[in-house]
Amino acid sequence: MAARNPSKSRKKTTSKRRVRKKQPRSWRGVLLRFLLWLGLIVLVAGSLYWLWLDSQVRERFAGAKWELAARLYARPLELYSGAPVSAEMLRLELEGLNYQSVTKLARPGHYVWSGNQVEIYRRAHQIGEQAIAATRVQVQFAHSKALRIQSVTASEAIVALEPKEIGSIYPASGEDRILTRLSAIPPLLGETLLAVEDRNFMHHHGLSVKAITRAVMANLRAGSVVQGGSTITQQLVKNMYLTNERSLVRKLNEAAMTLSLEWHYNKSDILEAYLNEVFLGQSGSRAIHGFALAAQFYFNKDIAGLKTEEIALLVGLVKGASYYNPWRYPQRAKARRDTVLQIMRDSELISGNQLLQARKASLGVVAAPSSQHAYPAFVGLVKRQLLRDYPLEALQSEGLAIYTTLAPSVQTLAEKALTQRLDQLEAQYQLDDNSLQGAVVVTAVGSGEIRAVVGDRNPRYHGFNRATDSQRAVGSLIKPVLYLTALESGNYTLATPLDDGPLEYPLDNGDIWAPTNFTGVDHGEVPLYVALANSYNQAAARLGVELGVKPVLKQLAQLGVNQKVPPVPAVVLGAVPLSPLVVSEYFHTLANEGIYAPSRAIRTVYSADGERLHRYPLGSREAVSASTAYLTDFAMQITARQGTARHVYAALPDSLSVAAKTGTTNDQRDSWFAGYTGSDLGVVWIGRDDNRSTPLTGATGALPVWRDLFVQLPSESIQRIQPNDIEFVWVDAVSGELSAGDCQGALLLPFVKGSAPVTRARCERVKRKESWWRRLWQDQG
Amino acid sequence: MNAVLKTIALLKASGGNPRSVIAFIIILGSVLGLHGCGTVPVVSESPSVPGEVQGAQTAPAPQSQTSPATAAPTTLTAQAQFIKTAKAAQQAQDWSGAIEQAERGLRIDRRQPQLYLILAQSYWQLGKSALASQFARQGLRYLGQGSEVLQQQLEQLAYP
Repeated sequence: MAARNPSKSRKKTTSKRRVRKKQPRSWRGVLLRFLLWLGLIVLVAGSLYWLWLDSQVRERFAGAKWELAARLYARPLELYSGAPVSAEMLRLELEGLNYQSVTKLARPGHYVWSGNQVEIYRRAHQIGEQAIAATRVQVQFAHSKALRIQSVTASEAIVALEPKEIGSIYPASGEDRILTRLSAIPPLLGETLLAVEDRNFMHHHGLSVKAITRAVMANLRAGSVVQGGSTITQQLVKNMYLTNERSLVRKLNEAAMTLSLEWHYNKSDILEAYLNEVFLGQSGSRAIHGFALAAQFYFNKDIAGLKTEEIALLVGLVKGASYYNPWRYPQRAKARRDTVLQIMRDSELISGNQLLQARKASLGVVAAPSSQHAYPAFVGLVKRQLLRDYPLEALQSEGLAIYTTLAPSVQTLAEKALTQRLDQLEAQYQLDDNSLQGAVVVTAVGSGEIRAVVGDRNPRYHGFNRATDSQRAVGSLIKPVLYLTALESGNYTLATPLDDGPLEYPLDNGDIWAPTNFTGVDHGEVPLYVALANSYNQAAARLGVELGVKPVLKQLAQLGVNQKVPPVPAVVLGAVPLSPLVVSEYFHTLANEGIYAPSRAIRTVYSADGERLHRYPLGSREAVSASTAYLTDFAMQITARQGTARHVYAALPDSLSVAAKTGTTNDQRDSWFAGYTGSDLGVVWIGRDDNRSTPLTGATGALPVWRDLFVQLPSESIQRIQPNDIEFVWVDAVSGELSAGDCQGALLLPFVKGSAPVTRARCERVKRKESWWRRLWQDQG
Repeated sequence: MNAVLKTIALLKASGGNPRSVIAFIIILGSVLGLHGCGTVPVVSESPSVPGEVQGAQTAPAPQSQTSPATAAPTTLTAQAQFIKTAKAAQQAQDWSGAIEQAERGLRIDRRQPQLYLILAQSYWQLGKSALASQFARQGLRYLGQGSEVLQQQLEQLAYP
């Protein structure tokens, strides 16, 4: 074999290359190559883009699909024998929960009222992880105006109604929804939705050529867009992932994402998501999404309780919730509903008879959209307390369930008492309409739970909340604190004589402080309890000077007021600007036998999964000794019986022990009243927003509001347990000197043992008077 | 005795005329009356109506009210249920559950010392001794003439 000549071979190759180089490139080949490369690039880019879209679809669909609003609930009303619930209150609570008054108890959510007896079919509900079954309960009242339940017949000793939803903190986007499982959706609703929106849903893979063709034909025939060809999956993709932009790119994205969604998830998941996602209405900035929330919004009903015609209306709204708004366009909405009903019939979902019945029915929507803002003052307070523990983002997105202390029936009574009385006062004193404003705070004594808050004479007003944010001088509402400070010092008793003569006190700035009594009358020496009961300013000012302002402010802080107050002498007469809520804080300590228990508006917070995240427990701190609290309470009970607050008994029964104090500030700018029973504390403020004077005192303005409320509020009498170091001694009512039970003008006062007066008053013998209560007791015995 | 001396001094100052004698008799009578009725001023019970004055016409008369908002008949069954469930939670060493049940019971009757004992014991178990002591002291305020055992239990936690 001959050896190859390497140079020859190189030459050959070179010449071949030259030959190739010389060949002209065909344009077709270049184009083909270009297209191939382009195709490859597009394919790779498209694949990457599709993968990205696919990841987007999966990421959102697998995780938390939506930001969920925090929902706020009232306290559940507990029914048991002897419960302080009036017939009127129970009716208000049932109406608030949208129970139906019927003649025969058939299903949960019904009640039958017959004479003094009501039978309730309590709905099943869930609180946290605890599922509470539906149950029947019979409640018996002694008579129709009874303030207490006489007996309860049920499987348990205590039956709690489900708590009413009172508001929500929804996402910044405004989207609100109640997440519902597919299993909780009535089958008729699901079937109707498919019949109307996507008949072929169970068989297509996201895109339906048949539906698109049908839509194109229909649109061509009509000459405009009258029918969409989107499947439910496409609609879901459009709503969840895309904007309303009309472009080819968006359409392609929609198609890709639809296929991706169908590829990864089954039909049940997609349908469930759709039922929760779909837009079904608008209320101000709040967008109503999903059928469960829509059922509440339009019908104030649980989704499980929807009737055929109601289902038809909701499904009809999918086509255009604004266009078919049943409040704004009832005819249009009814026509759409009836169309859906016809489709239901055509699809054999309902019978012909059902169709006729449903068509005859009215739209049945509630008179107005259920307000998420029915209790703005209370909800505002709750939000404020929540924000101490949770960031706003968490409240707006994590679907928390927040159980509050609001008692809806008490709130209604408080709102009514304030608004009606303000109207009446304006008429009585010939004031301009709506010139007066007011606020009310009702607290449960002991627990410190806030039962009602009214921050404006229009209780639905969302603006300034006077109950929590106004700072108004409290006037004589400070006096219980002043006298309590004196009693706590151990140097004073309820009988200690105080000088109510004129007073002039030089101030540091050279001015003279010379407070006078409201009536302008000097009373000379009076026992301490009389000075408090009649709210004498001169006696209080002199006592304040003797005690010093700082001890009084220290005592105020002990009672629960964590607010800096300038230590000027006028503080002892109430130059202390506080909100009604803060006033109720320190009065609650007085009502609670001197134990400070912080006010609470929230009981518990649960996660969306039902896990308990936070409980707000009862607090306890001894702020005042038991004996001083007892003495102060006693003096305030005298104030209610005989003093400036005595007009409460113009309507309340004498058998109800009340402790109270009126408050009026300079030029009658503020009218205050704070009073408590054994179970409830109410604080009322009335005044003008521009701080001008009014013709009202505490007794003529705020007191009647309080009385109007408490006359309807089932409340326990004050029942104090006498501390061991307290003894009762007969003293003369006028001089405060020692007296006896058969002396004219004698009364029993409590004293810390050993502190009773020793000087004896003159005694004019009278037949010892037995109180009407004791007489009644003896008569019955 | 001081009152008698004062009265004699008053009589001397008046000059002993008939009107003064009558005044003397009235005053002496009233002083003796006071002396007689003022020997045991401390009474064992509190007044049913605070501020009710003897011999005055100001005491409020009972009104005919169809819906007296008087104190409830104690809701023993409801309250007993909470005491029972709170104790059961304690048995299971579910201290938070016991606290919750006790609080529910206090919403029905806020002066029930037994429930304060449960609160105090449970907080003690949770290591919150200050709060435990506070609730025990609060329970003692409502004890009244309660059982000695309960008193001892509360006192042990109130003043550890």
